[in-house]
Amino acid sequence: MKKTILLLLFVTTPIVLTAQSLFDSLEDLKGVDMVVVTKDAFDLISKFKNIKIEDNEGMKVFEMIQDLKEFKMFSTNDAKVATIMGELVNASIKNQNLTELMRIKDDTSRVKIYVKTTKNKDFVSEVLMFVKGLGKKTNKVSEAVIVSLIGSIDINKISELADTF
Amino acid sequence: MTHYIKIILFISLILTAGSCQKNTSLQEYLVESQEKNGFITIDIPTSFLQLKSEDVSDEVKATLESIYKINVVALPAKENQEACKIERVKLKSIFKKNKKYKILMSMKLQEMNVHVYFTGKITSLNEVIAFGYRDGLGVGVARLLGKNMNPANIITMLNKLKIDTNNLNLEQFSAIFSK
Repeated sequence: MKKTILLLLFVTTPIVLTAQSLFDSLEDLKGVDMVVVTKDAFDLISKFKNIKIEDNEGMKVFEMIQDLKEFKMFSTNDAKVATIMGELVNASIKNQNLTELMRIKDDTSRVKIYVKTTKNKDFVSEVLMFVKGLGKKTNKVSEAVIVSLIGSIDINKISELADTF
Repeated sequence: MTHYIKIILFISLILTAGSCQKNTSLQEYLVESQEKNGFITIDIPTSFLQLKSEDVSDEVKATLESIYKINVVALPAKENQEACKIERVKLKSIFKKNKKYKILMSMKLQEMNVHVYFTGKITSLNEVIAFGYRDGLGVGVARLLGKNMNPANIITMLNKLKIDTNNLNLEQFSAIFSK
């Protein structure tokens, strides 16, 4: 019995790991801007508690979220890359079993936020936000931003996050 | 029973020793690059920051002593685009193969790539390294070398420190730029 459990664990771990790195292929594409911050970096920043750091989106995100393990952001102004991003987001949703939290739509953009729920109703272990910008005349995808957060995230703070983008 | 255990231990020892092959470390790379053509190399020891000894507390002194120096090695693209690619691959491989280099963050903005690594622990850093490259611009790596550097202490120290610019030894300063 123990052996089968161990075997299952060994088999499933790689699947989970590769899912997290689904977006890494974007790094090599031209026209993609990217920021990836690891847990060690958040640990390091938390040591600077008494120091004033320039307010930027990264810091706002960090302050809103406790126990963050990873922050990834990808953005592009290239329509083709934006389409690829959309496909990666869909694949990630399936892979990670994410559920939609909210959808926002206005004249020029569509924002969709997905989360991975946990046993605790107020917290999710993963947030995936996808912002699509549409060209005014073409009404086709012209730019896109993916934001991925992994850690222990308070759902109530996510709408604040959406505002910063 | 114990005989078999001994054999297994012995074999695993050999295997681990074998896998600790000499992967080029960043230190070796930095030293090699001093001799290469076209490279810009900068070496700043912290002793360059001469401080009035009455002004500093023991804590600040200890923190400063934990920081040894900064090395910078860069190859501008105008020298040789091909060479830049080769160096970029070399450096990427150093960071990938050596487990002691842990990634802190990665950024790519307008085709400029920057990766920040560290060795040691977050509270007790030995090296902090920034590796950057951009097609058409070049490739470079900067390393802050120290021993058991504590980032919180360093920030506190920087806030407390007043570097008297009159005391800065400018002759030392010009000597550190080679080529």
